[in-house]
Amino acid sequence: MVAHNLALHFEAVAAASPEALALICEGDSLTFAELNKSANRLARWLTSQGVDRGAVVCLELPKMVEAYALAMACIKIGAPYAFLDPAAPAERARLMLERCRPALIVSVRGGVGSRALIGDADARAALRDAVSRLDDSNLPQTAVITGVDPAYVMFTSGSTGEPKGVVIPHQGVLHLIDWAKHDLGIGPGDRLTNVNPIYFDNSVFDIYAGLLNGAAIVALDALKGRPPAELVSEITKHQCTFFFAVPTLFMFLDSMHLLRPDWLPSVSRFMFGGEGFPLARLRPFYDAFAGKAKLINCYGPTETSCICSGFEIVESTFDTSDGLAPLGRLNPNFSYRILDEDLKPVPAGTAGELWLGGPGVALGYINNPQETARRFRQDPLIQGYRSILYRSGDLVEAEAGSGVLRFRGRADNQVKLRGYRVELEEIDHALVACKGVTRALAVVLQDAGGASRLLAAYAGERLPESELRQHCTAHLPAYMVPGRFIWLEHIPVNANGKADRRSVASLLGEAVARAS
Amino acid sequence: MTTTERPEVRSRMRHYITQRLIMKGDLSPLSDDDLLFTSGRLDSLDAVELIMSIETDYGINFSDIGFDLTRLDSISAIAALVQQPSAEPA
Repeated sequence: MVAHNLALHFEAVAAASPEALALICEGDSLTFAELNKSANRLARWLTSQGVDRGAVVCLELPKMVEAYALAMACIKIGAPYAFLDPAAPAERARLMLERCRPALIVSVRGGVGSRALIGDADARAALRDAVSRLDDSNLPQTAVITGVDPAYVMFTSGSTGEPKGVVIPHQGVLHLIDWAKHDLGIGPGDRLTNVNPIYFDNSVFDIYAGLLNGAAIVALDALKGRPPAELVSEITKHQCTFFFAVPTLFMFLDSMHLLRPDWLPSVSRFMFGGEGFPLARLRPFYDAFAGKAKLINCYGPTETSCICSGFEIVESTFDTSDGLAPLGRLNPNFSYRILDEDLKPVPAGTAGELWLGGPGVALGYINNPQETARRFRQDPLIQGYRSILYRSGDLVEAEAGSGVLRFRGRADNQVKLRGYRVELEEIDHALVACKGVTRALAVVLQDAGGASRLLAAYAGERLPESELRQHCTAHLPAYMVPGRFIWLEHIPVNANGKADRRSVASLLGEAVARAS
Repeated sequence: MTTTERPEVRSRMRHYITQRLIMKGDLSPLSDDDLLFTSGRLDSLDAVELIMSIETDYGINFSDIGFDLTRLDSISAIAALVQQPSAEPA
């Protein structure tokens, strides 16, 4: 099946298997024909609301049928959509909306901008009623959308203190779908979990690698307040065959004795990514499913269309002094360079920064030319023609011969917390905005098992921890709120007078140990 | 180091866990035997924080208990684990 944009690809799947199950969500089941018709009506409705090709639509929605159908509607009219967390602090939501400059916001909550609210049953019914009268056939204008048109905007933490919206083109996701089909064997008959939050990059895989390969996706809410056994039972009840989540979730289920073949008999492939999976924690998972299900470690910055490499865990994976599973070989259609600080290629077997190229690379950060210019750069080894690479900041080493990449750390202050990418500077900025705080530095302490803990040091007025926590909760998503706040008379600085994060980390490690 | 007094451990854990629940908007009462993770009141995010907090504060290594979170599933369970002689900090 060859299509030059995501919408045509989706329509081809819907035409080939109209009665196959596409989406299970909130107790509803939709076939491909039903989802496609719903998307067609919503596409016409979006157009009637003034959304044209190239305009951004913000979808501030939880996992509801409309969320998936609206995403498909947007790609049909070439209007990139941005899923936003409906529970995000208002201030952070405002920053993201300001960058997006959306033509329309479809949301479950009130706020600034041109909004269509579908927060309650009446409002949802009203929208359903309004679109039910619209034509449900495919739209002619879909054919003019090209592979380099933007498909979606995905927000990720930014070091300047504000989130950055990554703009991904249709072609990047088309390659992801193809990789999922050929390397992971995803196709009709499969059922993929969509446990990943819909506004989180991993969801891109669930939705597109599933739907556009003719597989069904099952919308599931992770654990918010419900027993973990219930989530696992639901995955089994819906006969899911492919389960993709962050290592933190798998480690949690394992530590609750739920990551076992008798609990998850239908799953034949588990995939994890977004953060490293410590091998010590992977071992029992691998042993439990040996011969029953494959385990795949995947890697990819948001800026390269979700995933750019995958590695199947095998027995020999554990014969290494490395603490983490390898990242694997890069997927087809990616090019890369591993460069040192002087932007020269590193010798084989040496770690350097990974620069990624090819059609999977993002178009840039939305309405943010400065940050775009900083991370999307001309290939330093090419002068004669334009060749843009994404500078990942990930330090990797390529295995001689096989090309398998191994993670060796970061070139900056980006960390991964429960799979979420966090720029520590964003937390610093939020804390300094708290009255009385003059300087602040967030640091991550890691334990031997690979778990990461977020702490913050601050100087200035000594404040009650509850006040600092409240302030952070109002400005940052929950996973970015430090677990502890430690007052220091002076924040240590390095020779250049810059706050020294490494010294602060060791100071905080001692301070926390002393406090016990 | 001598064994930490049970009431102190319990009250510290109770305070710590209640704080996390409040942060999540969970204001329901919490007794020492209520299940924390099995019930879903605490999640994977809380697990990481709780484990690391117990590791640093009480010198318990999560790997030594086989990464078994069900052994930290209530305030009573945590208090019992923390006060095992082998779990005492050096």
